Amino acid sequence: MKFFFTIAWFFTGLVAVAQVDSISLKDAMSNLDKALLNKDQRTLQRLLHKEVSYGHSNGWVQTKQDILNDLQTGKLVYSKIENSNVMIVALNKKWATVRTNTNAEGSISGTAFQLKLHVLQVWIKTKMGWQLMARQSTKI
Amino acid sequence: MNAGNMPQKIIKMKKYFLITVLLLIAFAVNAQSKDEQELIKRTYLLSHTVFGTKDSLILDDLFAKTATYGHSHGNLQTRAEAINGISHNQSTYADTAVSNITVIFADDDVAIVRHLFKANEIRKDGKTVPLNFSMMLVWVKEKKKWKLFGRQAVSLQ
Repeated sequence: MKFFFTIAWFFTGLVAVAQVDSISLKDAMSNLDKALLNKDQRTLQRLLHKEVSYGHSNGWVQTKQDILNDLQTGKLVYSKIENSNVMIVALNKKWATVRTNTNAEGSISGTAFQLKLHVLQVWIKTKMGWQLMARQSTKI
Repeated sequence: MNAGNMPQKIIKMKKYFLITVLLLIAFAVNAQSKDEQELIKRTYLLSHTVFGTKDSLILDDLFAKTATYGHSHGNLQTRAEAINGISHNQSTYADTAVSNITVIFADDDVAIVRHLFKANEIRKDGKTVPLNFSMMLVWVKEKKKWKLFGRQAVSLQ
């Protein structure tokens, strides 16, 4: 039964993906990961919505300013962000939710972390292109 | 006298224009706050149903067709799996509390709701487990009704 649902889900996923520009969205996702790794403030300014809420697996929620500040001060350092099982679910061309599994490594306030996460992201398409509106992760 | 009347007419027209604009703004703000109230209502209903009545008909109405439902341990369910799981859940929940609800509109018909959830889960075997979750919900407006499109729970313990 579970197998059947997985198959059915896979097909609904495909139908949904056909409605959004999944290639440009996947580009935005990988650019965001690179920008977080490289502390690339300019790219982060462009890819993060001004009202973004970025929730971590410990319940901590960052605003856009928090994300930019914490990278700049070195409070949060990413050394690895790897996504797998990326699934895009969307209803129209203006926004999409993405589910992925993510392996993230780095340090927070000098303490190293190595996390296996499941992540839900909400992206919206603005004049500036795809922007991350919300994100929540949880430990697998 | 005539020359003096003209500007007054213009002032009057300007006044009506201003009133119209203000009314339109008030209408738009009211529409969004109505949506916000509706979203908060739906969020409470979801929580009361998932951790209380487990009524599958209400869940059917709450969930969007392509909803995805993520649990705090990372397992992910489709709409059908989630509704089936919730309505057959044999745990009961005491001292449930929803707090710190925030609503952010991503678009007119997409909103992100975050809230905290606390409860004591009483499992089938009688064991009580405290729950302390942060929830992120993605709601979409389908046929004038807010439907749950995505849910991700994270445990704060």
